[in-house]
Amino acid sequence: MAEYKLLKDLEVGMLIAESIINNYGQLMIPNGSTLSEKHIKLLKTWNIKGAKIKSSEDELVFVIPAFMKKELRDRVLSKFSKLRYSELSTELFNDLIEMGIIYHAKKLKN
Amino acid sequence: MKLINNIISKIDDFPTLPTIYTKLNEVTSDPKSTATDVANIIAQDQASATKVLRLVNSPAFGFQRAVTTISQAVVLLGFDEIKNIVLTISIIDTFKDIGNSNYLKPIDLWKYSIAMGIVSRAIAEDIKVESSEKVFLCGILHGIGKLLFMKMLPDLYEKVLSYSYENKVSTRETEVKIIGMHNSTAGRLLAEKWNLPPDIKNVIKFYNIGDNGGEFDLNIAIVHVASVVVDILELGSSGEFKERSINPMAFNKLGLSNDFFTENLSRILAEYRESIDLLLILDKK
Repeated sequence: MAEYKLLKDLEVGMLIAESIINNYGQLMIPNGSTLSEKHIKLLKTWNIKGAKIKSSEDELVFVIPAFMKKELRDRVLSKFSKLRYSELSTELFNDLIEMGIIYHAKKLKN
Repeated sequence: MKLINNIISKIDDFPTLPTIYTKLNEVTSDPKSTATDVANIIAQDQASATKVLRLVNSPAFGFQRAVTTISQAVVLLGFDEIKNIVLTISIIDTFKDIGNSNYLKPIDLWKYSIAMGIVSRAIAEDIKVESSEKVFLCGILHGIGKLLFMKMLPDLYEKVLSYSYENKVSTRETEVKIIGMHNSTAGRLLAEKWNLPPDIKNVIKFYNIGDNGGEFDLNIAIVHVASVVVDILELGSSGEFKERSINPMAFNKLGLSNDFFTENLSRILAEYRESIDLLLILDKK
């Protein structure tokens, strides 16, 4: 799992979860790098807004129990009416609903 | 009918966007303009200049050293970004004295609009739209008609909201019933008066439906799908209390990556929280 962090929240030692590219398409920091002081300076110089960071172990074990998942799914779907499911791209729609489930589960957890 | 004519004439009398924005528009569209020309215009408007500097020095922009002059800000951010910042400041200023409502707090409507801007921009970046900052503005401004109703017709709009809330019916439909027009129609009239770019006008008119009379339109589709995301995440409030639909053409044709939503959730939330802080900065006198 990876989490997007804004530049001000990046810290030395964090693990980069997705290569960082500047506006010109040049690779700045490759995926898998450990952030150093120098990296952070580089990002500031290039005004890069943030980066994807590998989540800490604590978040890796965050699993939504099945009963809760069903409840949250119903909650997300209750926002819609007259949806023409067959016409919506299935994979993308499932991802949309999954996003809602993850968000509301984390909100409940906190 | 009388009411509609009354609204149209009220929109006609509505304040224009501050001259600073129209002047900036002229200067930034002239290829011979320099950063100093742009900076001079902003510096002439002391209130805007202060706000621009306050924003640029907030952590969201992440500059290493303090930005102390407007010229520095223009060079660091570029013409387009500065212009968008000034437009956002101007619009927030125009609507700053909206009275409170029992059903829709102005701050929640702003939060909703900002979330719309952020999600729209994230979508634009995923599908590699060239001007993602313009898409950001489309997202922010999509519901300008609601702000207009709340400012021009506070009592009547409160009736619209309370009726929709109590009866669990669509606020949009109640708008037509009680006021005689959708917020999108009113918003578009204001956008025309303000001479906003055609893309933004189209978004205001059609974001809710998701297409332009059955035709796919990129900006409209982006903002439509963004509204689906913001509704699911319950960021701020749009003043709509009834379930909604999704336009399949807008949803499918954008060409989003299949894991776009789960992949971008944490980024959207991080940028949203940051922007809410910026909004509060702008709100300070």
